[in-house]
Amino acid sequence: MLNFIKRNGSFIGFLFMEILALVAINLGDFSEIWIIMGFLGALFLIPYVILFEKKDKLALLLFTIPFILYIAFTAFSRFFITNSNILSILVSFVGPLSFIFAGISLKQDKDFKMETALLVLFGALAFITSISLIVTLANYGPFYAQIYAGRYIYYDGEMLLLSDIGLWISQITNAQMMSIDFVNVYALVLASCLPALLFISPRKNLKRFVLFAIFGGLGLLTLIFTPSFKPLIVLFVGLLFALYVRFVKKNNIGRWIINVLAILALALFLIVFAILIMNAQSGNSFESLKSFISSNGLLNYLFNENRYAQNIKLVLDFSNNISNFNNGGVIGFLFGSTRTYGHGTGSFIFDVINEAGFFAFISLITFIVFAFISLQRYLRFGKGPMHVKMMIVLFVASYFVYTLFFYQSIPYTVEGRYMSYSTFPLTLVAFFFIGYSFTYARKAKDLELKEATPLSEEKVDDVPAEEKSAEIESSLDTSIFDEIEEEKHDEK
Amino acid sequence: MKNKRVIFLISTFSLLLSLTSCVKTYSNTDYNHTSVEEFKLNIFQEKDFTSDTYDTIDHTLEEGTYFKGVNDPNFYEFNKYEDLSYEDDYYNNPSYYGKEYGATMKITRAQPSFASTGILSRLFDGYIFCDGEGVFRRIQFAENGYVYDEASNDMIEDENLEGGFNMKFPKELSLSASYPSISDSKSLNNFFAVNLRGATNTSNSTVGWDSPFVIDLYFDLYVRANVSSSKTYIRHAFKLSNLEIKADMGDVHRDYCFAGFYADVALSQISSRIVGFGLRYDLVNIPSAEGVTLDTFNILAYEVNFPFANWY
Repeated sequence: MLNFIKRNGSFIGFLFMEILALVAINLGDFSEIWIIMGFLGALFLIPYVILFEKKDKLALLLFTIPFILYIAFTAFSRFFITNSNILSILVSFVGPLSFIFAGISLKQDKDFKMETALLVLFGALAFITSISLIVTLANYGPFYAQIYAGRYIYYDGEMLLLSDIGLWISQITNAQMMSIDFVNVYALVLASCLPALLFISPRKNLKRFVLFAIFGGLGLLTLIFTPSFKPLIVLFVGLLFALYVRFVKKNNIGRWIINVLAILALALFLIVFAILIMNAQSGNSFESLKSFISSNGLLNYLFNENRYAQNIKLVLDFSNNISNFNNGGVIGFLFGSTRTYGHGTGSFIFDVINEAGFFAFISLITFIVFAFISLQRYLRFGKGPMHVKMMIVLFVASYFVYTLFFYQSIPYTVEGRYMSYSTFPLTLVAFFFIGYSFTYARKAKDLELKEATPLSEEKVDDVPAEEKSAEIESSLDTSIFDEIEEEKHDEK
Repeated sequence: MKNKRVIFLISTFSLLLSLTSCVKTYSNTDYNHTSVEEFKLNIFQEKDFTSDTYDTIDHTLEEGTYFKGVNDPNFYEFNKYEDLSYEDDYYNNPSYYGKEYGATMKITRAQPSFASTGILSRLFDGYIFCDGEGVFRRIQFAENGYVYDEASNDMIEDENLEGGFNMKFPKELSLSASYPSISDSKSLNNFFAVNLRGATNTSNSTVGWDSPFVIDLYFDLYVRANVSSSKTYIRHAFKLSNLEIKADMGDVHRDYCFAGFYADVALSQISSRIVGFGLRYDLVNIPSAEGVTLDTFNILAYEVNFPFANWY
């Protein structure tokens, strides 16, 4: 096994870099084929299981249980069984599992260079985003969403709001009209590598700095030329976070503030979520809540079938209203509806409730909370250069945050094809990153003990990134390969 | 290892670059029906023949070479389309291909580029009836042209201007050298046809439905005047005489006027590629009833079909 890994490790790592890039850009619109390739690639990674430490295995199991539940509830939901074929169901089951497994496994491989993988990934994303930008600008001109706000165009007899669409070229034959949120989320995750440039010294690593700057810059250009303000706000928050990590010394007060803010945000989210669920129910059960909301201007703006709540209400009303047994009722609410309303809720969370039900939703939320705790530990104690860690964290965070509010499950404006969140190309990449960045509490403590000063406190320019990463790798952890080798040697 | 990565990066780059050459441009129309000012602001101008010069050759079609509706015996005689249901309208649902007329015959199935023809793409999308969607499905045109009047800030009808509309095809149509016999199933789509109904304003709209309007419809086909020409054309005007068009009341699918003429007739007159088409009409007879005056009439076109042909 070890020989297999040693002989083929670099090749498998390289293979998965390509798969990751192809899945991300969904080239030719053959998403199922790329996911199957990801599954086949993950099969090669099975031998890596022996590299896991025993204690790691337990932590991994606990970490991935909610994820496996979410994927199982989604893939085998009533929605997919009714609307998909057996191949699609299997793909949506093994696909996400393969990608998170690949992330976890490749972390054990010392030949796998995450930075190169990021270069390939962002390079591929940059190409497809920039070519789509050129096509869009050639057809609609710069700043079209703002200049022609409220104006319509026609395609295949359909009347489309111009500011809601962007052209995309994943399908080889022609540019497709996509929901602007689809284009935005690609441009956003691409541009999310820009704040991480704060951790690369242009004097020491000019080539790397320029490459990432160009890739991220193309994403930013897409957002500016559309223009799309919502992803720019998310990007700005990411930049503030990077600035905080880079320049503000970590201390107890700072950590306190962050923790309190995080808890407040979570509490606020739960309250808003509960109100949305109740608010989205038709009938007399929550009338007093509705009348209370309508008495306040701001609340009324957010809820009561206005703005944000409207799409959610439409979808939940249609599919799995708790009191509406005809359309799924309680069973629909718990295990997913059998059909979709024809447009998404605009938020991946409510889409998950619609397609897979409440249990899948709980599993996904648990997993995301786990993932963010793990990402935070990874950022502080994980191996590798700081800019790589920051890119991974910002990629995952900006993707989840943006899709929380603006996810389009039917991004093909004309075709009306449904794209489940669990197999959406960028979700799979995010799963890969979450798997790769998995760091659990005991491990983090061990690393903290080994590492006297957390990485985030270091000044970038003090140590060149390459030297630093080498230094970190040597100081943090002896390679797992070496440990196993040593163990075998001892046994002999 | 490094070489492999370089090769991968280069191949990905060149593949993506090659994609740009496949990208088609869109010429969409931004057309707001309610405001003249909006119309003047049209940002994605449709491609038509208004700025070109062309000579017109008239072809008055003889009885039997064209059909005036699905109830016309000429239509059934020439086409074995009974297998397809004309009554329903499931448009672009692939499961209805081969079953429903609209879904099966729509041009965008064979030529997706017709989807990018702006507002006129409504004529190629497979919706052959109104089905309550009114203005969102049809192309409306009048007998005479309209001109913008600054004083009233409105479009006013001008009898000296030609009505109707025309468009340039996204691809050029080349008629086959010969068309199969009537019994051949391929004769199914061997015609140029359009599905029409009328619109009028009246205090008693049953008049326009009970006794139809009568029009002469011109189905224009544009070809280049010579091979190298890009601005001069010849317009072959095929005149379909005495079509009965019902207006306003009702939405009975069989009462639409599905009118057209056969490809072999066009083939006998046209030898070069067809680069565009147009529709216009002359009003022949206005129905009247006691105390009712119908003073406005427009044609509503829902779907256009072209014959089986090669597109370049």
